[in-house]
Amino acid sequence: MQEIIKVTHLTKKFKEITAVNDISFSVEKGELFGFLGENGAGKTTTINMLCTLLKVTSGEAVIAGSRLGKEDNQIKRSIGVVYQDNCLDEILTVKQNLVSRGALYEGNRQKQMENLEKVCEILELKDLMNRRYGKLSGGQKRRCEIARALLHTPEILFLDEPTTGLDPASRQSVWESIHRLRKELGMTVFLTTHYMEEAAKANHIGIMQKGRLVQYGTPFELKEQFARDKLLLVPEAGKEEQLQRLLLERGIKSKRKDAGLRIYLSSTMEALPVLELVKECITGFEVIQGTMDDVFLNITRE
Amino acid sequence: MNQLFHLTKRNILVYIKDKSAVFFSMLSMMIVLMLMFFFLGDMNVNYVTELQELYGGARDSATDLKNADMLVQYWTLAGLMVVNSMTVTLTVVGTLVTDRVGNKLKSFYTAPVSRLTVALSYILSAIIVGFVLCTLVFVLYMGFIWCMGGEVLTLPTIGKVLVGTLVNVILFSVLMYLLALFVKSSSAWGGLATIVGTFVGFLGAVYIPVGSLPEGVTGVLKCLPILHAASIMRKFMCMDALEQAFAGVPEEVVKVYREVMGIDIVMQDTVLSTEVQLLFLAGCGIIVLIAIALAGRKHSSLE
Repeated sequence: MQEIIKVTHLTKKFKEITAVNDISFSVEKGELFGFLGENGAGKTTTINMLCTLLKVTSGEAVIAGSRLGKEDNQIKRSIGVVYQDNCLDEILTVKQNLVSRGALYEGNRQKQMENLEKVCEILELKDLMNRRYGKLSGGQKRRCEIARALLHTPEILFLDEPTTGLDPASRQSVWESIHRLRKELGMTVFLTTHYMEEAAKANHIGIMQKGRLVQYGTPFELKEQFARDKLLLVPEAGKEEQLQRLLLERGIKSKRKDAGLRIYLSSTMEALPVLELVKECITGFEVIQGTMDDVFLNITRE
Repeated sequence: MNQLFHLTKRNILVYIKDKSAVFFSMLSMMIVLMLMFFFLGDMNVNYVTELQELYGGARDSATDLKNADMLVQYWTLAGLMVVNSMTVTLTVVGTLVTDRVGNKLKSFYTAPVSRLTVALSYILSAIIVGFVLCTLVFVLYMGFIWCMGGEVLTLPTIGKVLVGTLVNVILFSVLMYLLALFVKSSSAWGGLATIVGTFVGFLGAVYIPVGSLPEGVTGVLKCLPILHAASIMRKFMCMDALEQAFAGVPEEVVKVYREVMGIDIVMQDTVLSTEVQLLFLAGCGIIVLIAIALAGRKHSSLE
């Protein structure tokens, strides 16, 4: 796979504070890259550097074949950025907004209109074009913001918490748009989010903590490593002590939880021998798969 | 150029679509207008008719009053346009502050557009809106004067007035841009707008003729561009009306009147010529531009 973003030893210092501390990673062309971290971990600072807003203190980055800091104008043409805050004008219509922003990239009016039409089709904005941006719902606004970032058909789309503060239905509609973009245009998406189920859709995930990139991998790899499956055993009435003894003999650690016993597994398959052992004493069981939430909490609480 | 055009258009739209912003940016002017209409106008007219009676001699008082009234109307209009050119440009440039606070600048800076173009778009939109609104006020007020039986300015004078307006609007636009670089919040900008709106009438000696102010105050006002901007506009507007109103009145008296009303600005016993005053305004503009260049280097980064 081709690397479309390659970051090496990137560092950003604000006076005494080191916001981003020597991070290196790469993003493959066409993938959805999830960039996670607690508030203040340095995600937005990293994005601001990658999209040429902030000067890099040290380190390098190559974005879509252009070197950051040297060929910023090429980079600007190959990226689209959607920020945490909406940045279109409330008082103008969607169309006025998109035309004014699109003109920053494309001088040819006709081509600009073609781009506008295409983007609006993908994001289903046709009916909203003449409505005032300020009167739209949160989800519609976000879709307009994404449309703004896509007007010049960039290769990479940066989404900084695109669904924060949206209701579930709006979140879903924003995500449908993102999926369509990737499917139809093969766009690379660089995403930061606080919703772990969103992050789980990514091809690769990087987790930031206190300015450092502490983990990198596919959601599957990270789950394997940091989120263990749990086996919940429900003992038969009166056989609880026997169950505990059985487990203790085998050296399996268990913990009481509500009406049952919880056992941490290093892999899902490990549940089978345990179940075989205790099947006489239980009325039921449940295997709970590790989630991205567990991954995130385990890594950032370390 | 295309980028500058669209950014400027956007800034203008953001201002014009906000009806309350348009209203409040013209509020200072409307207050001046009301003050003139209800209280101060009569005072100014009386001052002229007194001079006419004392020195003018043989004309009938109706014509005198009519001429005096027209002179004061044009004098007021000149002041209105200076007030407007300040408060309107201030409001339009204020978009920069809200854009910075609302993180909208970021979306411009990630586009392949130079920061100079973005900066120019704010200044240019202020110049355009300021000029158009001042011209509108000019035309409407002149229509009002005409309806009340006064005379319309001659074409060359109108040309001069428009050039003067343009100079003022350009100067105040860059000045407001400089201020906007230092203001970090919308409420601070609102506060600044209140201060400017309140003081502009005094600094330009619009409410009270400059001759009625204490000497120390006039000394300070003469060092500021606003009084000179107002003086230039008054000279252009009142030239013909002065001649009509003070026909037959000794030149010495007219000279004093012009100085008292802030039509002429006298420094060290010499009347400053319009050329010198324009040069002074240009000098102020250049100083402001240098300050912008110096401050802009520090402020252009978003850190």
